[in-house]
Amino acid sequence: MTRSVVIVFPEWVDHVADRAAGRERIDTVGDTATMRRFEAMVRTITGVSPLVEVEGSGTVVFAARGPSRYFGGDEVLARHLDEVCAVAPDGLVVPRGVGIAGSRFAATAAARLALSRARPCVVSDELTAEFIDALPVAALGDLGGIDGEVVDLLGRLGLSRCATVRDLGERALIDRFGEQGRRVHGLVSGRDVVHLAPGPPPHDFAASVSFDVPLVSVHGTVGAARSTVETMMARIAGFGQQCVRLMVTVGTDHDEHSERLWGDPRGFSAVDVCARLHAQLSGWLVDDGADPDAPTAGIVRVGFVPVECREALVVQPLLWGGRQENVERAARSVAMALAVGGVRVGVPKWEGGRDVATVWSLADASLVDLSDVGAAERRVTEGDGAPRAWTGAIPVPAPAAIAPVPPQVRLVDADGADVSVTGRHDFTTPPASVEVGGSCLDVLCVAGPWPVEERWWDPRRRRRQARAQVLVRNPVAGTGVLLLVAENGAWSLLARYD
Amino acid sequence: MGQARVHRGLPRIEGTETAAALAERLATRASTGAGVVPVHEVLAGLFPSGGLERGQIYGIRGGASMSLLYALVADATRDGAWFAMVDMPRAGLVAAEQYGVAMHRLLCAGVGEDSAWGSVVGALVDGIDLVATASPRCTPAESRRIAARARASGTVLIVVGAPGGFEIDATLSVVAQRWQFDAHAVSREVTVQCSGRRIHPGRSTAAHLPDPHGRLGPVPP
Repeated sequence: MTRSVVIVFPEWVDHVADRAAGRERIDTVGDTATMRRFEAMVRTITGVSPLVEVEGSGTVVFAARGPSRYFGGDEVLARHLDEVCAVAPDGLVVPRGVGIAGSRFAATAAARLALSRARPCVVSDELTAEFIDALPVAALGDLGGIDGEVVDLLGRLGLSRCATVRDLGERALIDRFGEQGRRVHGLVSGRDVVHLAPGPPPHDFAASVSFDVPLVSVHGTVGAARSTVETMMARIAGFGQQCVRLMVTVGTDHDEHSERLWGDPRGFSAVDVCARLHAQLSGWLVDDGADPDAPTAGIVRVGFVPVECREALVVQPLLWGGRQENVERAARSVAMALAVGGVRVGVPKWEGGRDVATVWSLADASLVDLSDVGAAERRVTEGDGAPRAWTGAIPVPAPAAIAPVPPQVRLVDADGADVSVTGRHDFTTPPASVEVGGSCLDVLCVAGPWPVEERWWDPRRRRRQARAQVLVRNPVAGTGVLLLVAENGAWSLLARYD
Repeated sequence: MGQARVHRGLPRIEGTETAAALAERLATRASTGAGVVPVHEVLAGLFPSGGLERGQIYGIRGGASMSLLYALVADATRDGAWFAMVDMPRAGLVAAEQYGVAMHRLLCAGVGEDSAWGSVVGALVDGIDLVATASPRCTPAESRRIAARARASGTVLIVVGAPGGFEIDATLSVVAQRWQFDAHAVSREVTVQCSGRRIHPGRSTAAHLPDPHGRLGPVPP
C-alpha cells in the first residue's frame, strides 16, 4: 500500500478521454492550446513533488509520503495543492479535486469526491478500507481501469458495493476473471495494482532516437520518432507483454529536457504513444515568448523508457474480439503510405450540421488507431445525441460530388438578367438558365430557394444563404441536377449530383 | 489424424486468421488468379464473374461517376473490405453514406503535388481491399508496378476519369441518365454499360442511381 495523492482536472479528463476514444480533432489551435495549458499545470505540480505521473485521463498521481512530511501532514499538503492548482498559469480558475488516501484507487475516488464537494478530501490509512468498501462497483471501471465487461458482469451478479466483491475472495475472482479478477481483488482490498515506486525499469525495452538536425515542429518530431516507437512496441509485444506506464524524455540541443511519465491501465499501442508524445510536445514547444521554461533550441533526442510492463493476456484487445486480419493489413499499408511523406490520410468523422460539405470532417489517420473498431464506430455515429437529420438539411438523396471551393456561377432568367432571392425567400424572376464555367445550361426545373440562416443572433458572424436545386439539360444526354447557393447576391455551384 | 486433434484442441479466436486459412486463401488466389468482391445484385450482371475481380483494374468514365463508385463498393465495405479514395477532394461523403458505404472502413488520402504519387498508391494497394483514384499522376512504368502489386495483394483498383498510364481491364460508364424531379431531385434512372477486353460487348443494365432513399435500386421492368 502506497499512500497516494491524486488530483483530477475534469477540464482535461474529458479532453484526453476524447483523444483516447479517437474522437479527437488534431491540428486545431484549441487542441494545442489545451494541452499546453495542461502541461503548464503539471509543471506547477512538479514544484510540490518532482516525479509525478500523468494518467491517461487527465489525472496526476504521486506518492504522498515525501511531500506530506515536508509540508507537515496530509491535510496541509492537500490544502496547499488545492491552492496551487486553483488558478491556471493564464489566470483562469480551474475546477480540480485533490484526494489523498491509503491506496491509489481510494485516492482517485477521494479526488472525485473532492471535486464534487469543492474541497480537498483526505482519507486516513485506518479509514481507507472502510472508504473502499462503500464505493459502488462501477467505480472499478471508471477509476480502477477494470474492463467494462467485467464490471458489467459484477453488476449483473447483484454485487453493488466493493465490499461485496471483496467478500467473494481472491480465489473466486481469479477463477472467473483471470488476471482481471486479481486486479479487481487488489483494488477492493486496498492493495495497489499499479505501484507508484516502481522497481528497476525493464531497460531492454527502452528506446531512443537522436536527430542530426534539430527539429522544431511537433508534427515533424512525432513523425521522426514514429518508427522507433513502433519497433519498441513490437519488441514489447514480442515478449507477450504490454506497456502500461511509459516515461517520455525529450531533449533539445541546449540540453533542456522535458520528462513525463504517462500511464494507461489498458496498455499503450504505438499510436497511443505517438499521441502522448504529441501532447507533451505541444505543451512544451511554445514559441510565444511568454513561458520562461520554453526550450530555446530544436529537439535532438526523444527517449522512451517503458517503466512498467505487464503480461498482455486478458486485456489484449485481440482476445476480446473485434480485431480483424484485414484491419491490421490496412493499418500497416496506411503507415507505409504516410512514410512516403507529403501525404494526408483522413478517416471520416461525423460532425452533423446542415451543410453537406461539413457534415463529415476528416480526422488525421496518423493519430488514430485504425485497428480500434469500437473507436471507429463511435467516430462515424452521431455524437452527444446530435440528431441524424438536421432541419434545413438538403433533402435525400445527397449530392455525390462537392466542390472544395465552390465556383461562381450565374443564374439568369429568360431575358438574360440575373436572378436573386428576395427577403421573402422567393426568386425575383423564374430562372431560365445557369452559366457554369463558360457553358450555358437550360434550367428545366427548380426546387427552392431554401433559406439558411446561421447564427442570426450574432450580428458579426451571421450568415444568410439561400440554396436551390436546379434540373438542367445535359449538353450530351439526359438531365443533370446542380445544387446552387446564393450569398450576398452572388450564386456559386456548391455541389453536383454526379 | 494428428491434424484433426490439433484443431479440436485449439479454440478458434474470433477475428484472426489461422495459418491454415491463410494458406488456403493464398492457394485460392494463386489458382483462380483472384477471387471476387461482391457487388450489389443490380450491378452484378455487368461482370462476367458476378462481381469485381480481385487484382483487376476498373475504370469509371462519364457522368454519375461518383455515384457509380459508391454503389460499386458499398456492399464490399459492409462485408468488411477497406476502401481508400486517393486524390478525390470532391467526394460527397453524405452521399457515400446514403449509398451504404461503411464509413468506418473508408480512408480519404490526399497526395501532395511534390510527393511520390506512385509510392503512396503502391503502399495503399498493398493492404487496402479497394482503392479508387482520380487523375493518376504516374509514369507508365510506375503504373505497371502498381498494377503488379494490386494483382499480388488481390486489391481492386478503380480509376475514375482519364486512366493515365493504367491499362484498364473493364470500364464502366453511365450512358443515359434521367432525373425524376418532384419538389426536389428525387431519383435518377441510368443505364450502366460495361466494356473491356474480356467482356462481351453490350453488357448493360438499368438502375436507379440513386433511388429516393439515396441508394442504388433496381428499375422495375
